[in-house]
Amino acid sequence: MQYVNRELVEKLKERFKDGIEKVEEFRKEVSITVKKDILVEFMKFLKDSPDFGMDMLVDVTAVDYPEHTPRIQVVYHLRSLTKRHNLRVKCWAENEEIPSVVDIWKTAEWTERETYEMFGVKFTGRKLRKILLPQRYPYFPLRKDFPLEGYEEPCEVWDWE
Amino acid sequence: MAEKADLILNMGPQHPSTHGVLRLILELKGEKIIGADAVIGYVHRGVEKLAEHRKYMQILPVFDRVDYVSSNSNELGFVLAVEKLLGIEDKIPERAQYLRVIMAELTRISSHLIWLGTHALELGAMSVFLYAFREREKILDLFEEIAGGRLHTGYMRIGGVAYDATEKFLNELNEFLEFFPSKIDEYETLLTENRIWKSRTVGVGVIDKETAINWGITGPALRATGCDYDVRKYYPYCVYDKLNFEVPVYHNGDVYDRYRVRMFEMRESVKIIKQCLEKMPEGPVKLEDPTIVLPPKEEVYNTMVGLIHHFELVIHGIKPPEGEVYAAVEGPRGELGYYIVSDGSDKPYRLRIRPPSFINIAIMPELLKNHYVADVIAIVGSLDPLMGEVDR
Repeated sequence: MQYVNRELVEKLKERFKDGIEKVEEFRKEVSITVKKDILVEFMKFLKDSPDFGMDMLVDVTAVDYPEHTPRIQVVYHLRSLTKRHNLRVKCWAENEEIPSVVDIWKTAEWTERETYEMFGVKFTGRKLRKILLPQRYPYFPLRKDFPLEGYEEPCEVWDWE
Repeated sequence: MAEKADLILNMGPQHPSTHGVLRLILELKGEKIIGADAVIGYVHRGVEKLAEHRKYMQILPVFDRVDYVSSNSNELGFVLAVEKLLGIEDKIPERAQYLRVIMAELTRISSHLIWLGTHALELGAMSVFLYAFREREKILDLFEEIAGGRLHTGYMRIGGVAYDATEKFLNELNEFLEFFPSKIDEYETLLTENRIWKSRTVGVGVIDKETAINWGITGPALRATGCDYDVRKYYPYCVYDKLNFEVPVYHNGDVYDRYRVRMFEMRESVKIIKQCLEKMPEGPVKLEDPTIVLPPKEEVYNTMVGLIHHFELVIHGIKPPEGEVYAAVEGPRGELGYYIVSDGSDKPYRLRIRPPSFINIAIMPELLKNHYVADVIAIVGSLDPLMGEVDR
């Protein structure tokens, strides 16, 4: 899988300067960690700039690092179908909140809902409901402190809408 | 919504045409849908959480059951991701690569056959279902011959495949490839120019190219809108870059075009498998690296070294370096991606499946608006969601 090349990464660094916290490369895959306050601007730029042309949001997910503050890192996989390159954008969810990108790519509609219910990250600027779990389920199962076998729950969590 | 619904209709979760347990809440104005919502999660099993608690080798059978009608594609995506993480993707023996492609394409055919049968059944064409399942049975026999399992084959391994192809398998596969194209003609005679079929499908559930890309739709549903994105062509894995095949693209983006894309794909899959059989070299089917692949049983029972390697690998597992990778395959339903974050231990720190069905059906509440109730079935069927994969 082909990722954005070094020149393009340099261009991003020039434009966003301090907004970019970290650039990693592993097995030819490029990940860029950005600050939360520039996330939406950064994503819009990636989509609209002709150099990048990221027209497809492949996936939204998150990773939980309990020792780190803030603990949840949201991960976006982006792709340009015209340029055929990919990019992974990561962003720490401070206070467990992060701006939504659903206005830029509709893929976020369901994937953000799933990330919310699994990790408890609130995506601001959109309507957020749980999708796979019952609406009143009180835990976030993909966090590291949630046990594999789960908790025994009273039946009240089952809401039949 | 300004308009007020006359009736709220609850469709599913137990409904024969929702391909599992999909529940749709439809707001109706007469026969027209003015609002829709999908309720999913009935078969959520927490596969991603399970994977975090298992060693890399133990995860494989779990993924067989994610998309339970195309287990080989699921396994393939996962082993490719782990191999990328380990940095051994260029070292996999060539014969294993060809066998993987053969299995993946057979899986595509069998999955499309299930789709064709059920989709046609839902729209009233009863006989296609029986025809499609007749041929699918032959493919399951082939799986049984090479891997031992019919639905959950467990055939892929990190570093290769489990077993080499037997003489019987190759003969039967050749026979299958001989007669199968004529069977596709048979299905097409029943449907492609059928007036009832066309009136149920043409111009129904239209998605245009920009919308489809914006919603992240992949697979046949995207290729019916005029976009040629196919992981096999864009980012070739295994030996797809050495094979000569076409990616079908149609431009109307309706139910009928999604049907035509899948029919075309089955023909291309036959072509791919034929080329694989011609080009497949002799040789080993597993990587020879005792830190990644279990040694053969004869060695384990008869030699000290084999026993030690076996013990080490089972107890300590595969330990990839710290890092993160994303690998994708073109599954029957679209791009099936695996994102693995490794912390250097024998279990993945985080494993995310990018489920094609889940992302493809997200558009449904929007898409169903202004369609008639009868079209719901056609649209849901044509997107081909598999609830095991949607809910994971």
